[in-house]
Amino acid sequence: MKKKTKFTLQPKLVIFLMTIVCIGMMVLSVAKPSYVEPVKNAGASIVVPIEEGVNHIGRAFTGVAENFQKVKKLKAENKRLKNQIRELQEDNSLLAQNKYELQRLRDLYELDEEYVQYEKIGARVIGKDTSNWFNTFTIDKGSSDGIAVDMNVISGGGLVGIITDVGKNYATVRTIIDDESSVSVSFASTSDTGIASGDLQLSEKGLMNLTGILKDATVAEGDMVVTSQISDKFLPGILVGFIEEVSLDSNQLNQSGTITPVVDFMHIDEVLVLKHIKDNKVPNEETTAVNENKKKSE
Amino acid sequence: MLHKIKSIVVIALLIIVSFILQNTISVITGDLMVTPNLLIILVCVFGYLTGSNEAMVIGFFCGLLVDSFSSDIIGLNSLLYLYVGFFSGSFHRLFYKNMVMLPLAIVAAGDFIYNFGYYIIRFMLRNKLDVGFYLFKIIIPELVITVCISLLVYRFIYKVYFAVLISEEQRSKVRFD
Repeated sequence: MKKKTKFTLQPKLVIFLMTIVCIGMMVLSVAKPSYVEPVKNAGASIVVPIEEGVNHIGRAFTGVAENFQKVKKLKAENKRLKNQIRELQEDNSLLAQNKYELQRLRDLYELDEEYVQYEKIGARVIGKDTSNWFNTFTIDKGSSDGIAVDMNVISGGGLVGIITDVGKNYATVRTIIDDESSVSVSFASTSDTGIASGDLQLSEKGLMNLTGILKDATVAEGDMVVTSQISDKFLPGILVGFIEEVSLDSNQLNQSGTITPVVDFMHIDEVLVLKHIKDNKVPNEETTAVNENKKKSE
Repeated sequence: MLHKIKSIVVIALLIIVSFILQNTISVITGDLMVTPNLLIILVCVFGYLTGSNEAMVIGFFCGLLVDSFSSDIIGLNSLLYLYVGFFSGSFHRLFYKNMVMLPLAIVAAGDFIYNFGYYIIRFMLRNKLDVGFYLFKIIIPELVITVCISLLVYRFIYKVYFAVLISEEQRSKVRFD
């Protein structure tokens, strides 16, 4: 015999109520992102410090094991690289001449090496997306280091992704091979533009989608792909990758193909965050102003 | 009351530890292996051991943690983990001490429900219809590795549950059953 009358909740009732709560949160997070900010920060403030510690320990172990394996590889690589240096030195002397010419032309166009001198900050990757669906990761620098949403992230000379979420001591980066990511790109050889978008299916093969190139654009396999001027979030001129293949669409209006990104997304340890957010209005006005000046001078 | 606080602390610790492991495993191993879904294991095993209500609460908070880190929409993972909790909890009445296959099957089914739901919401609705590819490249590998891991940790969670989380009267009740 029980003395207490037990109050039992029906699971069906609980699931009904909590479904409403969840859907409410979803709607709220889409409509008013600032309202759900405390939830994000609470989770992060507990997890991020521990995560950093775990990573330190993990790296120490994997580091030792890898050192032994890598000695052989490194010797072979060293040989290869020495040969490469010789070739590069030759190239370098050629490029030095080109650079001089470029400098002259830049002065002429008043471009002023705008995008070469962004302030950068280094960060470590401390966690990846918990599911296997998306390609996002967490870095150990946050708003207290001056990082903000929409800053570009690079590594190894190529574009890695963009900051989508910032906490006090962490930031989330969505890589460009993420299934929901797309970047407006242009080609180094021509001024045509296209859209490079991530695709889970292609990223298995280490590729990205490339769409929306005009029919008449003269692009070919191996062309360099960089972020374009017209992108509203990505700074112009950052290397994305090289065209793997490109062909005319069946509708005969556009060309599309695939890109091999330069960044090795499977082995990202450290990244650089460009502390510069693309401002759409000012550069456009400047360029139009420049154009007008030119017209006047003409 | 004290017991209740103790169990809440222990469960919170379990959630945080598995979340951190899940988050950092892929950084350390690189592309060597698919990330197992430890949180699903936690939710499913607790559902089997305790019942729907508890598992739903655990699932809700697991999902909230995942949401707060990875996605821009808060509540989506909470919802999926909530349903997984409800599903696994409905097998509580079949609970039998020495059964191992059933909790493994529940974990497998829970992981499948979670990932398939995720696929439908985040991919199929964006016209990515190649179900076969996603099934064999993402869902099945994760399911297999999750089940393997749960084989290892089921006994551990079971022991923690009976040593710490269950109160004295419930324990005697289970023993006499």
